[in-house]
Amino acid sequence: MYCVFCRSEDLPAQWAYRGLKQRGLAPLEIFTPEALVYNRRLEHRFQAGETITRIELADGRVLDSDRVRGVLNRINFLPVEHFNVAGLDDRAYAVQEQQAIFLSWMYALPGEVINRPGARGLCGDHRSAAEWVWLATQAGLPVLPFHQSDEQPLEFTPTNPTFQLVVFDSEVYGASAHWCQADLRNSIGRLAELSRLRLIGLDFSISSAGEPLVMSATTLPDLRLGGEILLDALIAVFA
Amino acid sequence: MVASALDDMDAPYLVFNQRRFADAHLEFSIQGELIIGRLCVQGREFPLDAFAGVYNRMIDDQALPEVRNLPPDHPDRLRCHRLHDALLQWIEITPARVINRMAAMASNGSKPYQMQLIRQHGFATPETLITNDPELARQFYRQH
Repeated sequence: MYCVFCRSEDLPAQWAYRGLKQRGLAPLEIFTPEALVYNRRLEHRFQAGETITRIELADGRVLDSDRVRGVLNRINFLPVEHFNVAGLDDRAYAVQEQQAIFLSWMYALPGEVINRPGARGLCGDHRSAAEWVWLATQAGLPVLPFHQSDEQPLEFTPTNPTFQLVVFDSEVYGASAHWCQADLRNSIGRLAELSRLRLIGLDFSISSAGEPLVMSATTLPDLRLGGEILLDALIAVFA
Repeated sequence: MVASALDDMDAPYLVFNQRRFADAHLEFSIQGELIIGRLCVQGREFPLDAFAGVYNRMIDDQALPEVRNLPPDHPDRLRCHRLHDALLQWIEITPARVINRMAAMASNGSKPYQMQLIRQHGFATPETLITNDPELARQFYRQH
């Protein structure tokens, strides 16, 4: 089976789910973080060199790692409200342990997992704005001037037009991709490699001189910006 | 211990006590391939590119005795967090040698995840079960 892990209000993920289904990816199911967390039974086992996971959901479905062939992963946060009945210290511990378990079984899933969890995030390693800007400079990308201090909150309110490009397996997708000359595309590809993420949204601001400058990046790009061509690229990986 | 070793080497160093955040100030900019900024501690100013190494032993700033009982929107608590956030962001990207960056330590937050990384490097790992099913847990206990 193929899975889309996403929140129910994640419209780009819902769009991708419909597009992948129309292209014949089957069986394909959506699993929300609530459905996965509020399960009836979870078994995550390390034995004889292999890792297996079996989750029986409240709605009767079973997520069995032996049957998973691919995942489009858009889960970055897990529900924690059910821990509110506990004291502060116990609550904090329970939240951390829940995160730890989910990081482990999601990371262990077989097949193509886009994006596979990292130690710093369930949807791939989370990075701060400073880290993304620094990584972009390492990749040779022009960046928006970045400044951070303890005296004022970090804010991004660019007055110039902005746009997002979707980057999947180091390739650029999106209507604004026409901004990307060959050098820029190559640098974007380098950024994707440096980040070790297969799917990112790269946010640009356009300078007064018309130059696209990297502002930040996200592991949850608006997939719709990538259009049908992006869906074709996803199906090529999964199928 | 680290400070003593640096003293023995006659190496200059700065100890930043995070509980004294009120007397500290940090700002940095990313300009091209350069990180430019300064750290001010108790009236002394240090350019960030003067630091060749960082030994990070800071705890969660929200747990500091000076702020943990303050309301979430108290100015001192907010400023304390901004200082630590800026400091941790600089630590993650500085070209100085850092022990350890958050990225390197992050796997400590999930032992079963970390175990998979350990196994990928060729180490044997013990059989492990994580479950919310009491009977599965009892079976595993009887077996092992």
